[in-house]
Amino acid sequence: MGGVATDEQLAAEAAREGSDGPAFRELLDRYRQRVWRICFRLLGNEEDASDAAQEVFVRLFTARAKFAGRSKYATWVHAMAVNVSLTIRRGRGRRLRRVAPTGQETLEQHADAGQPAQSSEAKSVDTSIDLEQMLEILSEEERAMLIMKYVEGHQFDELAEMFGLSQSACKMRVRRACEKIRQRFPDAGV
Amino acid sequence: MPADLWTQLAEREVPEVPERFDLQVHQRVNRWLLLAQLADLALRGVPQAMWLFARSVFGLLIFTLSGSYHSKNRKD
Repeated sequence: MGGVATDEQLAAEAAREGSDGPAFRELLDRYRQRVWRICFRLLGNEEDASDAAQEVFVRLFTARAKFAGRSKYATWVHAMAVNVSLTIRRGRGRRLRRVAPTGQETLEQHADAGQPAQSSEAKSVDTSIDLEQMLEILSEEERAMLIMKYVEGHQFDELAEMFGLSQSACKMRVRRACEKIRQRFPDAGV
Repeated sequence: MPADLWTQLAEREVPEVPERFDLQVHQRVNRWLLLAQLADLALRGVPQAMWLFARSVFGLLIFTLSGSYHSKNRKD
């Protein structure tokens, strides 16, 4: 192959390989970090993320002949990472997914107690943790969609392909999810 | 949603990919290939071999009983 092969060319080459040959290993090199990041963000702990990321690559291998090239290969891989992560989350139950931060009050606890949110100093320290806890009130799909949209920076057309929805349906779900968080955490400045 | 909240979540450190990640993927893929090939052997290879063997035994029986060898390819 002359020059740098595109992902789609490598995928076609990998489909012709009998085992995990050079083309598949190149794809693994290109997507290892991205898949790992998505799995970690969606699952919240290394053990599950590692399991999910490995499963994603095994599925990419077993389904390598099914990539039809209708969408970008990257979107196909991301969709698979999201699906595998969601399946693992659903299978293992929420309690086991994330190591709960100890000794920290959460915005949810404040909201339940009707108290104002934490001081600005403490708030800035705990914002990322609190935001993750806010996301826990959402359904698995809404949570994944918000993470893929706002944290991973995907556009709505990519989300539509990843989640198998129309763009307008994605926009509506994202808007509803944000609204849910605002209603539940009115003092959080969200 | 305020962008800074999402930015902070995006900037939350994601740990490095585990060291043995590639090896574990390779092992999983190999396990899958082994299972796929065993299934292929059990579902296609073994029945095909049994069919060929049964045809030979059947031909031997016919030859023993009739004294002539019946073949579709014979030109007599």
